[in-house]
Amino acid sequence: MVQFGVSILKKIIFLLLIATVLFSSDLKTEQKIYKLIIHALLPNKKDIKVWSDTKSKENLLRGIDDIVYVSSPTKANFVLLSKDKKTNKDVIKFVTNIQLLEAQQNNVVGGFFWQKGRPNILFLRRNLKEHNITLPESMQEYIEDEI
Amino acid sequence: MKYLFILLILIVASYADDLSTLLNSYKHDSGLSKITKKEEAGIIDIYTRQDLEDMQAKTFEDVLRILPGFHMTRTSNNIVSIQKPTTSNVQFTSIRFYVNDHDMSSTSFGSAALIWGELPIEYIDHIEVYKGASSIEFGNETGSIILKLYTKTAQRDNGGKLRILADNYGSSNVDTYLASTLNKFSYFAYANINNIHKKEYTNTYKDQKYNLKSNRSGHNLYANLQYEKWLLELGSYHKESDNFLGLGIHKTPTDGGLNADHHYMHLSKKFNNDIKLQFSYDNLSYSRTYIDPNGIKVANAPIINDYNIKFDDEIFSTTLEKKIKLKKHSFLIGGFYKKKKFKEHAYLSDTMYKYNYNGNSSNAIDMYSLYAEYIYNFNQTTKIIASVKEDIYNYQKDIDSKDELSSKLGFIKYIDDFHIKAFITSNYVPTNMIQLYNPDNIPYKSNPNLDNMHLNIGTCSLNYKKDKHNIKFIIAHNILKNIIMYDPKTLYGYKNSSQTIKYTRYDFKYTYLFDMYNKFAFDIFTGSNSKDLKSSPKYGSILQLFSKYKMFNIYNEITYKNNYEFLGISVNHSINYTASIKYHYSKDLSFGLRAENIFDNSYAQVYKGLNYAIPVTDQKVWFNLEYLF
Repeated sequence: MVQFGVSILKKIIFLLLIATVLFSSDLKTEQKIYKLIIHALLPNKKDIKVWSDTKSKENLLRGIDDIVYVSSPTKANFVLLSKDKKTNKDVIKFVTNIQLLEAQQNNVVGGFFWQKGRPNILFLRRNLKEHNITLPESMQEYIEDEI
Repeated sequence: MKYLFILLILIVASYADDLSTLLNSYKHDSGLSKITKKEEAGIIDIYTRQDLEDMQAKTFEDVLRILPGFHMTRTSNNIVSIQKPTTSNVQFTSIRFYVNDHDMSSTSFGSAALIWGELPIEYIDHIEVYKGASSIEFGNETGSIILKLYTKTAQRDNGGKLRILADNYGSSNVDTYLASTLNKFSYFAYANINNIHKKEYTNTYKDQKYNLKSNRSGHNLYANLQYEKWLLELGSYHKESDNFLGLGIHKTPTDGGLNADHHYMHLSKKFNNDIKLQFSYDNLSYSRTYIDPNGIKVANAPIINDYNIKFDDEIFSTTLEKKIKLKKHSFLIGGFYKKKKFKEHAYLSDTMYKYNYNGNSSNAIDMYSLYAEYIYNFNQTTKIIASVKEDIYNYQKDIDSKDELSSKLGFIKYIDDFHIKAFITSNYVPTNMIQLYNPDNIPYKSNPNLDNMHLNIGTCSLNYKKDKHNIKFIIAHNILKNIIMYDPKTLYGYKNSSQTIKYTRYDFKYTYLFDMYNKFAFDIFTGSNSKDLKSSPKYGSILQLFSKYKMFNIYNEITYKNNYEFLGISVNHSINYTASIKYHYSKDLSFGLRAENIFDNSYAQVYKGLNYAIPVTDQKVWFNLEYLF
């Protein structure tokens, strides 16, 4: 019963976050997308700490209001990578280009990248499972078994 | 709690669409034209990637046809050209045609735009057209109409594409590209092959019918390789085409055609501190054969029947630029050196070989240019632009050195929903080699007295944008001095006229954006000249409707030109209706149909020596298949 209540509460928190994103217009579209992704990957975290290896993505993440940008990947629980960089195995890693997603497909949970002239989002099922992440129903269509 | 939960479930139910919408919105908002466009350079028309895809545009012609303020036409020898309302063709020397940073220059013709008008554009991401510009901002040769075509990038188009087009005349056009990035290295490679059939017309002279053909075929290759801040671009464009009416006195061609090639390489390196260094090499060859049994008139020769002419250009270019950005001040300082080589060869004969002439001429220009642009940002809504450019032309022989100064003053202001842009440009149109060495003037000799045409342009645009409405009004006033005219009675053919011509153009545009997929655009334009010339329609109008329904993209386009009379031939109003539909079977596969000139009532051009006007656009249906991989 308690577990059921916690599960419902998790869903409500996530839905509220979605509602917040939908109604916040001050963020750029790219920031809105990353905000959704980060909250979907870390639905239970109250203080989400993020880090990126490029200045442009750092600026982008710093603009998202309810997450904290940290100075080192070791302090983060979500890392956004644009380069082939080694980071802590336990941290949730997400990439910004298809080549890195292919190269790091055993380590990263997914990517948001340009391919074939359009932006794409892709989550890797097995890596989500390793991190015990269950994405909401609405994001299931972006989950793939392989690249 | 129960109701809150239901409400939230409803939000979730709509969420899948919303993430998809966010992705589409991101694609829409991240168009590369938002990065490349230069507001300070002049009045801009932008054709985004989405526009080009929805239109199912195949070649640059499909864009030129709907360029506000101009009529697209073709010359009697089958070259795509543009006209300002009421006037004849715009001189190619005043049109600069760019692919990325590379200016398709030509020593013989001033600009290679004359062979690039039918360029297949599947590798192009978006197109910017600057009018009333000076080209100083683009750091290259002077022009007043700047056509900037930007290629797709490996970063965004990772993967590949195949596009196959075919029409009801039996034409085919195949495009393919591959792109990939790996660490700091990326490449984009594109290939096109085309074989375009066009409607054939006839001309009757002395009871004999002559076919006026305008088919063409060719290929277009482009590749870029990028490593960190180095970029190497390679291009090769080949075009073969019929002569259409040719150059004969009675427009009775029996054979002949154009065989043109333009190969180029462009290397650029961006250094830290906003320094950019560029090297480029162009090799252009343009070979024509005109055969007309009823005679071709060449200035200082008897009537001939066989006219072969070939131009070979080589251009080496080096450009160095530095940008400085301070809080309120921005500077661009640059300079370039170009070596422009020119060779001309002609063989002329009559049918009986009683007369023949075999001639050559050549020359070269060392061109030096220094330019600077200064932008003062008063605040976030107001800026002033001042730019200046000094060009020095040193000819290898025959022609005295020249120097020309171009300058521009501009003002840009945002007031609430209004956006005002105003520019005053003092410019010139460089004289090209075929004017200095008139190929019709036998035996070849230079024309040392021919001076550059001077052009002063005042342009102002007022833009009102609120919610989904966008209204734009443009007025442009040109003063042309020292005009180069062709007069076969004079010693050299081309001469400078002492007359001044004034030209004023008005353009009104309204756009309504229903949403990011559905758009309505209407444009009406006119122009008048001080010489009362009436070589083309005075009014033109363009209507475009972009729509999306489920998996279909639908596009409707109407171009209107009013009636006009030229060389004693009356041409009626024309309404060219083009419609296209594209079905997206999946994200990667789509099928399309594009019907052009549905009413068979397109703008018709009057030609000297022909007793009727010929439509510029054929009535055609194109089938289109696009596959991404």
